[in-house]
Amino acid sequence: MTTPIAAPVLVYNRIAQNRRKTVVLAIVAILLTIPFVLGSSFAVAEGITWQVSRQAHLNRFHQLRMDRLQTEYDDIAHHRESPRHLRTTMDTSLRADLRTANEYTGDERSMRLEILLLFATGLTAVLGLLVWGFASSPTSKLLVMCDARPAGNEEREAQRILENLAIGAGLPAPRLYVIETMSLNAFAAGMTPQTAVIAVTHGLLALLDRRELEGVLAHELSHIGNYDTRLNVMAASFALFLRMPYLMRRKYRLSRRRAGFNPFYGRLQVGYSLLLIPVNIYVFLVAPLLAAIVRSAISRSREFLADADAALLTRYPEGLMRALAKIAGAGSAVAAANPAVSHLYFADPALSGVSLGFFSGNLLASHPPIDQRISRLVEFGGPASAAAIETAAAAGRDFTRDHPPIPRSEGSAASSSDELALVTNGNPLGRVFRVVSDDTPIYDRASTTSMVLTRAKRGDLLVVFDDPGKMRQVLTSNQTFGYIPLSVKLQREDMLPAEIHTQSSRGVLPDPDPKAQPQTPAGLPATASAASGLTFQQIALCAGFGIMVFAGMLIALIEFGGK
Amino acid sequence: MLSIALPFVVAAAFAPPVIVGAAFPLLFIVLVAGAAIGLYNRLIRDRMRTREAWSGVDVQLKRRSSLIPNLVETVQGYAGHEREVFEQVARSRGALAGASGPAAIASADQGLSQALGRLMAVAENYPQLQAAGTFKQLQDELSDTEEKIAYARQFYNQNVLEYNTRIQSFPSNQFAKWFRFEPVAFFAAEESAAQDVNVHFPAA
Repeated sequence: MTTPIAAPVLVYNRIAQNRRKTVVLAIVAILLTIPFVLGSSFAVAEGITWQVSRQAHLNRFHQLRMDRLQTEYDDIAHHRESPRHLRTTMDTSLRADLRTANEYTGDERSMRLEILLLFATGLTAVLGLLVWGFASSPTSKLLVMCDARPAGNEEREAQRILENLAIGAGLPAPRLYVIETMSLNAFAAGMTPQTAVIAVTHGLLALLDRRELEGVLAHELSHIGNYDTRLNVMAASFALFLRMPYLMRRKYRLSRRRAGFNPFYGRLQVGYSLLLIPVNIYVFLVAPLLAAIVRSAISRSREFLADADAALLTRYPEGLMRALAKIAGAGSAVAAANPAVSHLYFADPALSGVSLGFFSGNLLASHPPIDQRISRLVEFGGPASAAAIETAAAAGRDFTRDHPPIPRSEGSAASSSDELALVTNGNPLGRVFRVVSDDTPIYDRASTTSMVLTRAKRGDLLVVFDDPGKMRQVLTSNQTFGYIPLSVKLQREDMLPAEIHTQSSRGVLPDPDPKAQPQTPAGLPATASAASGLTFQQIALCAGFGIMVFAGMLIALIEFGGK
Repeated sequence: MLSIALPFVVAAAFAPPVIVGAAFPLLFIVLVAGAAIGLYNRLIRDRMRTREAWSGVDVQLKRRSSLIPNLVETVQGYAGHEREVFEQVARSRGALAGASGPAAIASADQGLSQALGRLMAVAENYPQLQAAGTFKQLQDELSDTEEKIAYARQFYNQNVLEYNTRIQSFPSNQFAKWFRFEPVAFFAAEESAAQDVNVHFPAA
């Protein structure tokens, strides 16, 4: 097989090396989670046991002291000891009694163990929920956040290039979207190649020539083919899970203006278990930091992998090299990008003041520095002339000078720079509704004068998002994202957004009796469990939680109740 | 991880040593059988992928073949006397239709590409041809299809590389022998790639 790459072995080696690195990082992430889960469960179990057994310990302490005082009194009465001598040993005897009283009995230890196991299971369930939440976020929401529109006639060349590259990669051609901004960036999103989308900024289409655009699209396509979005979703949810206590504590601190790290915070009572200090240090300091580092490391190694795969796909690494040089010259800042999704972009979307200075090349950067990426591509393709790269960088700088990025309009969805916002912002997943009024068109933009993408018939299921505005944002079961007027009547359906895409869940709204009110649609032909809106998974989850809560209460009562 | 071992430890504590001793060879056999099944399935999967990739190449080749009559007719309308070129195109198209097997099809494809290249070079001499919009469109489609063929061919060759490597690498090559997995040919022309291409520039 003839290949024009000067050193083909290196490409394959680089690809294999990056895959190995990803596996190692994934194992590290899991290893970080285990002491985290065990540690925080232990902290909670210890705290609860301590609280619950405090009264018994006090009673025991009281009893021990009474006995000791009795014996001392006895000794003094019988002249076996003198009061002065007893005063010197008062301290040690007090401490000995305290220690004996505060020792956990066997029952209390077993209760602590049970609470620990329970809480560990609960935390693992929380991790599962986070993964599920991230994984079922519709791609379309991300596109809306960036004001992307589907590629039209002007971008036919780019669509053609993408289609051909997809043939070369053996993937279905992803849909192309265009972001109307003059900044230079691109991203790929979508959990599977079948549902994947690639969005490119207008500036990128204007600045890059054909071979360079091929390189960028090949890079994004490689992300899709390597299932990088899925991997990054897992990494992001692990990282968020490990960082949750730290982020919540930081939010609490910021809202109350407290400062300093007090390990005894809220626990200023005698006998706080010193075992908890290393646990707290791990949970609140070490784990969040390591989690952020691991997440960024995974993201960076996948970027190198995508670069290598793109070079292999196009057989022309110089195209990608020149594109990178142009972007380096111009700056790849995209306004209002949430750090949790920055890994999806082609180059670091953080604002330029921050990206070129502190964060690029930093442990926490989501993308490797551009000069490092260029030098790795040079290893594959043989040194392109330094002049070509320099001209490309100059072209990029000129471009930014001529086309300063247009500031975002106020109407677009604000994205906060806090990672917790992804979880707490309204309901990013949307809620499921059924259309009960007549057929409604679904528009491309938030105005009735824009293009009609499709129509939603009566009885169709839609996912409606929480962002308020002049029109409602909806997602149909065919993964079409659009807007419908507020006048459309909707009825809440008790389902999860991801379920509207499965065939069995699409029930049919029967023709309403003109006299009757369309309250509850009776007689849905779909299977009972799907129509009632609760899947087996949900039932199992709720039952599991309920059982855990009750079991915990029962255990605490039994262990510590009727003694 | 430890929880998986727990039932075994518990069982080992209760079962007589004979049974526990017999469990190890059994476990070994199960593991080996599992690995064998995995290897066989991977060979099958790689072979299927080469077939699917080949059908992708085939689709693009057929697409080009269906473009050709239209193209030839358009050029013939203006340059009907250039018989030799048209005959060459027809001949190579016939050769491609008759060829079978990746290597033969690759050389036939190369012949057809050359013939088409000559046809395009001839068409450059006739500016009236360029003025007509349909020719430009056909030309664009042809070059797009050539690009698609190139990518499909690249994908096919990549899959063939993986498959051929696997049937020759150590553990799987034994399977390949037993179950008769044959290596698949690359989509590459047999004879030397460089042939004279006559490029005529119109006298300016």
